[in-house]
Amino acid sequence: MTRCRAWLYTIICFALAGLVTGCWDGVELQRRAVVLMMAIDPAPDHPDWVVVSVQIARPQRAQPPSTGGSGSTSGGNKEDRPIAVVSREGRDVAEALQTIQLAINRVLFFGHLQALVIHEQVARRGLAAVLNPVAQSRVVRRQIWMFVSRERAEQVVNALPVLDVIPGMHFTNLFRNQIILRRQYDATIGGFRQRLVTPGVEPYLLGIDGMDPRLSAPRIVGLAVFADDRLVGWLPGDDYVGWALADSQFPRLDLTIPCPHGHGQFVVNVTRVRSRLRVMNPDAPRPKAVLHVHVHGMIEGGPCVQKEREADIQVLSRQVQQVLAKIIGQSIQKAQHLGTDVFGIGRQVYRMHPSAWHGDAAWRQTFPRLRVIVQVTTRLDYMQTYRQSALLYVDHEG
Amino acid sequence: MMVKQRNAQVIAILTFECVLGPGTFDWLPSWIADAKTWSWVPFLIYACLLFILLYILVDLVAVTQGRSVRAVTVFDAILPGQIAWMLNMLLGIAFVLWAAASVRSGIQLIKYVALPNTPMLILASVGMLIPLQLLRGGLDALLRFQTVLFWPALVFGVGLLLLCVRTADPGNLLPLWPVWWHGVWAACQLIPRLLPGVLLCCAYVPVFRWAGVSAQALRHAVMAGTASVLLLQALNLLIVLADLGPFEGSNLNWPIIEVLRMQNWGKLDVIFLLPVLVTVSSIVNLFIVAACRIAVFYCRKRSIWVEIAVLALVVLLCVTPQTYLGVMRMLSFGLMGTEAALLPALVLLWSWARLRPARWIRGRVP
Repeated sequence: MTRCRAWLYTIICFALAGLVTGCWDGVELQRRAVVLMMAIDPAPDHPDWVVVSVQIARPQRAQPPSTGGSGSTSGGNKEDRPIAVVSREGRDVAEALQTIQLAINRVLFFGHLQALVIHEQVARRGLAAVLNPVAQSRVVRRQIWMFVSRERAEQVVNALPVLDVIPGMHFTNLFRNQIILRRQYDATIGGFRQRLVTPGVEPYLLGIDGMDPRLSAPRIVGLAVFADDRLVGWLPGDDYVGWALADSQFPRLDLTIPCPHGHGQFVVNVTRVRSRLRVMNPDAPRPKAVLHVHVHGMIEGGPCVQKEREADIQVLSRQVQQVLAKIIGQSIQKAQHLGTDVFGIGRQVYRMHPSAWHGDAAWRQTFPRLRVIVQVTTRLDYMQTYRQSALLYVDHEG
Repeated sequence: MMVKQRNAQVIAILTFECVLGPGTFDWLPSWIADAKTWSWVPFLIYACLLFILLYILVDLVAVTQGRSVRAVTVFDAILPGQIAWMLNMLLGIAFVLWAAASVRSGIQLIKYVALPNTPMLILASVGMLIPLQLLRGGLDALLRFQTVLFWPALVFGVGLLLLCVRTADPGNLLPLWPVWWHGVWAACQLIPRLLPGVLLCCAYVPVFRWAGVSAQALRHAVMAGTASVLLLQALNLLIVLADLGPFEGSNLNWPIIEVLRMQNWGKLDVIFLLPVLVTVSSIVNLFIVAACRIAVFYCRKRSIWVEIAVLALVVLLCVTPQTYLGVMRMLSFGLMGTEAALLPALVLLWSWARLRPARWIRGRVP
């Protein structure tokens, strides 16, 4: 009887083990359409509809970028391209994706989705409904990068950047190399949602302003800022730099600062930025906030840095402090004008003075009236090849 | 009863696994939704309650030494026949319900992370393979299985969690001191959901006492296991709050999995299933073996049929309701009901024993 029981158990175990070999969830690669990027544009014929374009990988066509030619491969022979783009319109993103699925012969797979590009017009309507199917999908990663485009988002997914074999890797490398942001998570779909639900801070995305024809890559111009889930404006150029400094997001890149006396600019390689925000009298009709930004950097040349002198560091530091304080102040004023607290000053009120926090609606009324005092301190040192560079700057007039 | 694995480490590990439960932390979002960054207040209350209840249990178990006890839980080692039978039946029902809830929770997590299309019946049936073999092997086989995977799973799981500190924002833990207390008290109502481990300890801790472990060693081991599991639970809560913040963290179904996905280092969420499934398997084994021991003790039938009936009942309770929410709603009603009877019974028994120390021990001499 014991031997019978042992055989019975063995048969049961093998039978059950044979049923869980992953047959239900295994999908062969050839049956998948791997989506690398997605673009959402407004539909031309229906005002509230959207056009969704998906960039699908063709791995058999992937090859290193060519060294010759114009570099622009957004056109070219469709058969040779490593990607295929399919566009369909629908009442919402879910319906458009369903239409796309019915148009192709493979199962759409979003597990490798790298980036989502949304047209400015769609972003102004509100992103919560647009993002819902993507955010709720268990397959889509939280770390997909999101952008707002001033021009048709479809052209971004159609482009083949010159520097990368896989188009989606262009954005991934942008963030991994910390070209734009230090804390990358905030520019992802997860970060957008997190800021959307956190009191006192508004979400943002990176903004694209057309395509660079030489690199066949999108031109990133700064921040697209939101109030709740609706796009309200842009912080490009110096406004973006001011925000990045105020939010400790400035990457390890060079800043060019006008020389204190005379013409020209000198270069500061920013190694670290730390900002600290304190809000005083949050219950007052016009509260005050003090933003202190500390910048570590290295001076790397310029016409006003012809000799490495310790006394000159003080002069240069004061110049850096004045210029950066002005840039940050202007950036905050721009955000106040747009009515969007992307700096998280309200979040600081919620965290440090929770009893004075009356909700996001009340803060949106208070934020434009806020007085923000910006203080910048620096810690700079020289890091140059030449300690005397006078001979490098020839005086043509003399 | 002779148990070979009766050292302090085994007792501590067993206590750890009993209190931790399935380790899927599906209670975290509700907890954070109510208490936000003040979740430490209900957590402290829960920790104190846990220590008190386990201390009471160990104290009760300590006085059963010295008698030949033919009992299966602490209740029938102390109380007379009818009352002990009633409490043990409730305990058995609670164990079957908790086993089904743990299996369902583990299945839901597997489906979310990796295998959405595999039928639930298949996953639940495979989940019963290990307890089926352990039931045949006896208590020593169970204890060996529980301890052999414990350290690798714990080290691996804690290591993955500590990786998530790199994306943490300490500012998400503010404000620290509660301003609005109604959320804190709402979170306190979830504490009973974290206490089934105490009931499980009622079935296992006495076994070591009857095997000859001293009261002091038992107490130290149980307290060490409890402190360790509280640290792990606190780490999970801290990681979710620091990385996601209280608002996003409370919106997600599986916040710890999402925190791991934030790290952007390959399929960490799938890898994290390894220690979690070890935990789910451990607790399911403990619940099922304890339920079977109670059933066999009272049924006096051939144990193989009782064991198959218990396993079948667990699978049935797990897969019959259509939705995950439906399963949890159905089970929580039964679970809260049994807990509401058994935990106060434990405390009352201890209080009564403290008032009448000379006459309260009722061991059954075979």
